[in-house]
Amino acid sequence: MDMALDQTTQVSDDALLALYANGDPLAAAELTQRLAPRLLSFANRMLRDLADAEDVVQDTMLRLWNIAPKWVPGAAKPSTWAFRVASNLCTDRLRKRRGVGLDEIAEPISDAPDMETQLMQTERATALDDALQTLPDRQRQAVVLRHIEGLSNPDIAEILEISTQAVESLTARGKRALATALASRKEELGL
Amino acid sequence: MTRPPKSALDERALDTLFDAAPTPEPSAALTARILRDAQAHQPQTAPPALPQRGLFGTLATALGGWPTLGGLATATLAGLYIGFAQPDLLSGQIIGVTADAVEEDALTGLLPGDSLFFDTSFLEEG
Repeated sequence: MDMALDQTTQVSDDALLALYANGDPLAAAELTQRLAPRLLSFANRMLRDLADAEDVVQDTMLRLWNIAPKWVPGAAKPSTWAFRVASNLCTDRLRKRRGVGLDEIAEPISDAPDMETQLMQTERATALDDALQTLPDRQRQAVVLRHIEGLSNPDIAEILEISTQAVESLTARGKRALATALASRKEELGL
Repeated sequence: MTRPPKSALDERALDTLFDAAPTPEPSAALTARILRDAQAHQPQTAPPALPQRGLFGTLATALGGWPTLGGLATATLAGLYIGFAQPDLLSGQIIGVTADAVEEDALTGLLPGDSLFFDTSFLEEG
């Protein structure tokens, strides 16, 4: 059975995955529309490289398509599962990068020549991204998932495969570190 | 636990920064790549399997299906009934038709009224 376009918003991610596994031609597009922007935002903040982040999103979604026929509804949220995969893929890429010489790593976006012409909003976003890069990987993942992607602590615990208390601890330490790292730019950012 | 220095950003300022964080939209090219993968890896729905026919099913189909089988079953039961239920009536007649009996009166034994319904003695007297 194919799904009408106006019905897709009422269908859960779980059900969409089942529809995809049963050959529905529209389910994949709807799942992509729901998950890809959030995954891209997360991966881009972790990797700070849009091309790399896009590869991570494509790889994550590919793994989702492959697991669809074996998916057990209700066992986990597809979005949580996808974030966990993306998180692991980002960690792998970050580890590989650390094996590469510092000179080979792309310069941060904040050093772009047209930075001065950007609006305050963009400056703030860039400052936040810069500060996020100073955090250890796990802290950065927890802060981005909690405060930018808006996920709940239990969901983040499932993604990072740690306890909820550990998530709370990571986000608290991450926020403190961000607050300290951004202290010198307080005036510049109008905060 | 270490406290941030007093010059550090407060909670509200951090929230302002988090709110300002942009969310990049996936490009059309990325979406196309994802959907191409989805299409390539989508399980194909198999046509419903035909029900397996056993020997009986194959035979029934070869004979013309259930109507034919119904007729065959009726004929078989009728044959069995005739075979088992009637010999009581017939056995006497069959036993009566021996070489000796034929000489005496071949037809007498075959008349139904001979012993069951009619007294035929007046016929012999007349």
